[in-house]
Amino acid sequence: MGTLKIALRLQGPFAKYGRGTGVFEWEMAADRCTVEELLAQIGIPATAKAFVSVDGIKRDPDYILQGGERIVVFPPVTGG
Amino acid sequence: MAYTGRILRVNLSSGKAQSEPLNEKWAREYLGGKGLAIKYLYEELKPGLDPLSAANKLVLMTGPLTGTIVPATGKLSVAAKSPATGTILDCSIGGHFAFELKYAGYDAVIIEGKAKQPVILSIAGGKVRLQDAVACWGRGAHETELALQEAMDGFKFLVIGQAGEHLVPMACISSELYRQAGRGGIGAVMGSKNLKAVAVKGGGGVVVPDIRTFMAAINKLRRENTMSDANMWVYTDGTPMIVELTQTTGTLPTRNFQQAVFEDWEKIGSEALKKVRAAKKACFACPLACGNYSRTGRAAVEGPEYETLALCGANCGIGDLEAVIEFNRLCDDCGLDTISAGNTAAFAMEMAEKGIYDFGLRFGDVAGYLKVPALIARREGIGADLALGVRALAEKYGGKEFAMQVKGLEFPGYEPRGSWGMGLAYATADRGACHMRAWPIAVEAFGEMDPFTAEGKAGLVKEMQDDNAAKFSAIFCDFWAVDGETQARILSAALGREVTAAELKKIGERIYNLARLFNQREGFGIKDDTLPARIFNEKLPGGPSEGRLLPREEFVKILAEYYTLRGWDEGGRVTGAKIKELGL
Ligand code: SF4
Repeated sequence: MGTLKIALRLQGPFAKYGRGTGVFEWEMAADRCTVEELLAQIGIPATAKAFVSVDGIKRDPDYILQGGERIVVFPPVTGG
Repeated sequence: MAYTGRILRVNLSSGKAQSEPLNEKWAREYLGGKGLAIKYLYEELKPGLDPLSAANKLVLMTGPLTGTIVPATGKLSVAAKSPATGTILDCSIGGHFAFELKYAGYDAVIIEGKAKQPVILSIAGGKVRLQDAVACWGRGAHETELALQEAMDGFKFLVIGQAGEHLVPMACISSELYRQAGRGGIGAVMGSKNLKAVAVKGGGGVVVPDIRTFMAAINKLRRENTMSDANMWVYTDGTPMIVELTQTTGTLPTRNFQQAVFEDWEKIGSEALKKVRAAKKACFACPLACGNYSRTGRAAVEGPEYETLALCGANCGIGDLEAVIEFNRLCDDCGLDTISAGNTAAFAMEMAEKGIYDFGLRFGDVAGYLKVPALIARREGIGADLALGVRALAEKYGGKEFAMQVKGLEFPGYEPRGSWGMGLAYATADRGACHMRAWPIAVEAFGEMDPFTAEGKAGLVKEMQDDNAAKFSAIFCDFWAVDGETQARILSAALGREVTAAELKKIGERIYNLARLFNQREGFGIKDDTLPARIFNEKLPGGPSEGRLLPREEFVKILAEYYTLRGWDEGGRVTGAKIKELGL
């Protein structure tokens, strides 16, 4: 099994699940994984209804990550 | 309980003020804030009146929770007939004015008539005075408020800048320099009354039935609900975080809605803004403190909020954060709504690009753009035309198909071709294109619902409009994701009677229908519930919404379904049966 490396940024209150604000590198012992599996690894609960962008594009929980992506995880927002 | 039970009515023509009892039946049926303000205006304004005449009234309305420690309830509703649209208009303004008014003994102030010369209305210690404001007339909102703060210790203020004085239909009302009742020309209504400022100083308080239980319950709620992960983005980032969300979903208005992604979005996004953030600011009793006080070498401002970053940034092709901050500060000082000012500048830029008319403004040209707020506010030079707003500019020079407005109110910062529900929300909002009546993008482009389908959108928008109407009448800030059950529990504790979530839903629906009746009486109907041709005919050129439009036939379908769900007739008129059902 290989190592999956991903550049992560966790926005807003999700920052507490990572290494604070800003981009950091996340490593997982896997060849590939879904967005949903990544969030579970980080510890962000599925009930949090996170919005995930992969390389600047919104992706669903079943989107497969190959490594090398830039991922941003946002909390849901209310009121504009 | 919770209400003071008194309303202050001030007639600026006669100089008389009188206190009258709050209409308790209406308070039960419309709560306060938006709903109760609209009810008073519906009953008291004659149809067809000129919004800038002495016959219009300006209502400052608190809510039942104003002045309590319930989080995120510090806003004030300000309402009148809109000079920009001719519709009903209610805005909300944060800061500390609302609680001060309640502590001064009033649930609301109704301002009528027109003063002979500029005045400041001051309310304190049971006394109401009209002070001469000739010396402040012609000054910016910032200079005026700072001078008043010096002169009137302990007061809180609502003020207008030059835009309000010049009756510009995008003039706003300001408080604490950077909080605004922004939309629909509410500041022009104040200016038309020769009212430069309202000053209020409290001294009293608010009574709730069982203070100990109330305090304990609210403190628990603040810890476990308000300050939970569901809301803390408001504190950590605030609305600038939305720049990246709209960019990512192809809904960020760019160059007058010609595109929906902006190549320089990172320069005006939340991460860039955090680098110049000097402090956080909050309204009364709000732990969410959404305000970002930003300072650069060139300017300081509380903001910019998302709407300003989108409409005065990307939509004008400006990727220079300092310039957007400066534009924001100029608008705040002149007393201009940044949403409408940004749209108007962008429209003028596209007019030049298309060779329709050249105001000397170009996408991305900072120097020309920074001159716009002061010129609009004083109606000087190109500002004489730009002050008309996008709809009237298009009528005068052309470009109607890309004049981004509904009923005369310029578009907020969400591209409807990338989130179809937003199209219906803009078309059916009670004050013209508005994102605060319903914000379906949160569950479409930002959520799990397909943004490019008609399915489910009519029901979604209707539910959101009704829920928000009740929420803005109880006066909970829209940034607090507080559900109906929780709202009902809080209101029950404050009012000393049982309020249910179902009752709140009904109240919301009643308010939305009353607003519709107001507009119907003014001649609005299905012909006005539409969108600019660009949204129906022009495909977005790139980004995640590439190739998308909102086909006219799909929009017509959603609108018809919406009318049916509302129980309105096929022309969008409130029916007799609905009037009876809601007790209107
Ligand atoms: S979230 Fe912001 S606007 Fe809303 S009440 Fe709190 S400080 Fe005011």
